Parts: sequence; structure tokens; C-alpha cells
Amino acid sequence: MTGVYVSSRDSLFAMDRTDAIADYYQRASALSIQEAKKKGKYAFLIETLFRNMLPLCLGGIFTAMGVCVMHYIGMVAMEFDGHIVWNQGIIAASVLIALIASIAAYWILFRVLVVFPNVEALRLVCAVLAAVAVNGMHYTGMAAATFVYTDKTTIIEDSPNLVPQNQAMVGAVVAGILMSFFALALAINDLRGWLFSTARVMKELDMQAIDPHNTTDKGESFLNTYKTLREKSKSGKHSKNNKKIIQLRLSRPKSASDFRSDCPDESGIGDSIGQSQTRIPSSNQKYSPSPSSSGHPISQVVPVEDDNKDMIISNRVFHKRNLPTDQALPASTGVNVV
Amino acid sequence: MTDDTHTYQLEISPVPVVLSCAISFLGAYAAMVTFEQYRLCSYMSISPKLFGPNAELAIIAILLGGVAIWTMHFVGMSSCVLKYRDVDIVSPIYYRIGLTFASLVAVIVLCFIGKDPTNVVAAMSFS
Repeated sequence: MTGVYVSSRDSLFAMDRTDAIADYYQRASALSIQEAKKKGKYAFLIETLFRNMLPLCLGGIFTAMGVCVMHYIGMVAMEFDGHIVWNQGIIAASVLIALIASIAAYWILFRVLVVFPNVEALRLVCAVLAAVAVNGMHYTGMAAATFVYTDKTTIIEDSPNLVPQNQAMVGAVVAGILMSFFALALAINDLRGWLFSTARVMKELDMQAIDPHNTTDKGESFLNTYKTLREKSKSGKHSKNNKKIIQLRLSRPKSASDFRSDCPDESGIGDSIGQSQTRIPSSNQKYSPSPSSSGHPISQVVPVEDDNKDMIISNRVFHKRNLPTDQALPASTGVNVV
Repeated sequence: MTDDTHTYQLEISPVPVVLSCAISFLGAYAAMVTFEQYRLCSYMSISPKLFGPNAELAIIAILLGGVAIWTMHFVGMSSCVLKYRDVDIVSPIYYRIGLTFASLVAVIVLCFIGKDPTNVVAAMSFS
């Protein structure tokens, strides 16, 4: 594992966003055959499953704390004729149950499901473990309480700050349903945003795919795209403007006759977005199959040998304009190569 | 325990117990499923979203803390019936509204922190 795993501040604290997935597959691919033979068959898997346990335990501690704090605040909120005597040993046991079960659930969620993301049973087991954490803690915590009354009965006033138990149950169920619908609405809204962004990425990838000079295979180009976008998002983590620009670096140059800028104001180098030039395939002959062409229609594109620099395409909306191919480019819309 | 104190006879009716188990399981499963969306969200953390991954964490915290824990707690508490030992009378139980909602807020906040302590570390380092 030497040299493969680069520890950084990110990986130190990383709970695991999908960095862990990328990290796992990166390490798995970087692991050479000899090294895999030296180690056992499952050694790498086990090492992956049990690495970086500190943030995991921290998250489990926080969540168990949430369960326990909620439960005991809810018990303290009870008002009845008498008071509660607590058994401290059982309280400690309930906290321990919550802690162990929530850490186990988080381990499945953050470690096992990262490696086996398609196993639905793991998700069910995880939910069952979380339910065990909550329920076990709850009923153990209830067993810790002894409800005591004295001979002098206290008459509870009918105040608006007090809710009877049945109404509290109905209110909790209604609030739970409302919270579920609220979460559903939020999730759908967020999924919409995610779909938008994915559609944009797929559009950029499609533009790469129709590039006839793109010799790299799709997986590699996807990885390059992902890396570029990842760097972009890391550098501009807290600025929204940076996230709005999707830029792709194409590995192969384009010929000058293939791309033209349609908007004159976008042709300048000193653009407001910076380093973004919009160049589009202007002649729609490239994309309309003609019977005279041999093979695929995009094979008609004639490459130009010089111009080895990279080209950057911004994520602006491209407007196709029908221009004759032999028409000379205007001086203002000359091809700018970054 | 002095002589003038008596313990209640705690009876637990089974229907709310089963209901509370079901609620907590459903809430937890919804949270786990939403977590996959959170993963996708942070995988594609490049482009503008309507909400960021933290909104996903908030959804998860509401589902796990609000539904699976808080709702389950009060449904489960409704199973307990307090009976005096000497007379066959049920003692009524009330809840204070302020503490009830305080517990809801506390569990949601703690679940939000617990899902990703990275956020807390980052917030502490940036402030």
C-alpha cells in the first residue's frame, strides 16, 4: 500500500463522501498483482473496511447522544402524579446499546455500503440496526425509570402548556408524517438539481464523444472530466460562481475551420468568465449524413496538424448557425486558443 | 424510599410498541435510502444544485432524528399506562410542550452533526 494511499487533511477527516469509493477503486487498480499475491485475497478488503474509524465513531457518538438526549428530555417532559426514580446502571446500559448499535449501523452505511453499493440487503440491515439502536435504547431507558407516587396526590392543572398522552401520540404521528413529506419535497427538489447538473455533464461528455479526434476511451475521458470538475469544486469550495462554470479540457485540438464562435461578444479573451471561448461546429454538414461520405458522417472532419494546445469549452449554450464551410472567418471571431 | 411512597404498576400495551418499531424502521430506512442520494450529490459536487450536500444531510437528520427517533419515542411512550397499586385507577400522563419541542430540535441537530462531523471540523476551522 506504499505510495498508493496519499494521506491528506481530506482523507484524515473524510467521513466518506464518494471520495471513499473513488479512493477504493483507485487503490484497487493501483494495487499490483504481486502486491495482491503477497497479501491475502481479502486482506485489502478488510483493510478498506476498517480504515479511518475515528470519524465513524465520532459520528456514532453524536447520534447516540442525540437518541439519549432526546429520550431523557422526553421523559423529563412527563408530568404526572408523582416523580421518577432512575436506575443509573440501566441508564448506562441504554446509552451503551445506543452507542454500539449506531456505530454498527454507521459502519455498514459508511464502509460496507461504499464497497458493495448495490446490495440492498445491507441497507435493510443498516435500517434494522438503527431501529434496534433507537428501540433498544428507548425501552431500556424506560425500564430504568421507576414511577413513584406519594400519598399526597398532586392535582395537575389544566394548563395550555400540558398535552395529554393520547394527544401527544397523535400529534407526534402527524408531525412525523409532516416531516416525512417535508423531507420528500426537499429530496425531490434536490434530485431535480442533481439531474440538471448530471444532464450538463452528460452533455459535455456527449460533445467529447462526437469528437472524431478523441482517441481516449470513454472511461478515461470520464475520469479526466471528473478530475477536472473535482479540482474546480475543491478550489472554489465556498464560492458559488466557481461552481457554475463547467470546463472541459479536450485532449485533441480542433481545426480552425471546424469551429466558429457565433456570438461576437464571446470571442474576446478577456471574458467575464475568463479563459472561456465558445467555439462551435458551425457547419451542420458534419452532423448530417450525406450519401457520398464513406463511413460515419463525422469522419469527414479534416484534422489540422499544428495547434497542439488544449482547448477549453465553456458550458454556455451553443447556438448553431448555418454558415458555408468555405466562408472565411471574420477577424473578430478568430479562433482563440488558450 | 420512605413509607408514604408507592411505585406505580407500569403496564405496556403491545400495539403502540409494534407501531413505534415500525415507525423507527421506516424512518431509518428512508434515511439510508436518502443517503445514497447524498452520495450521488457529493459525487457530482461540481455543478450548481438547488441545495448542496448539506441539505441532503438535513433531510437525513429530519428523517432519522425527527421521524425515526422523536415520533417513535412519543408513540412508544403512549404504550405505558400507570396504575395505582391499591386502587384500579389509571393515572393520567401529560407532556410539557416546550421540553417536547426542545427534544425534537436537539435530536435533529445532533443527528445532523453526527452524520458528518467533517462539517463541524470545517466550520470550526473556517470561523
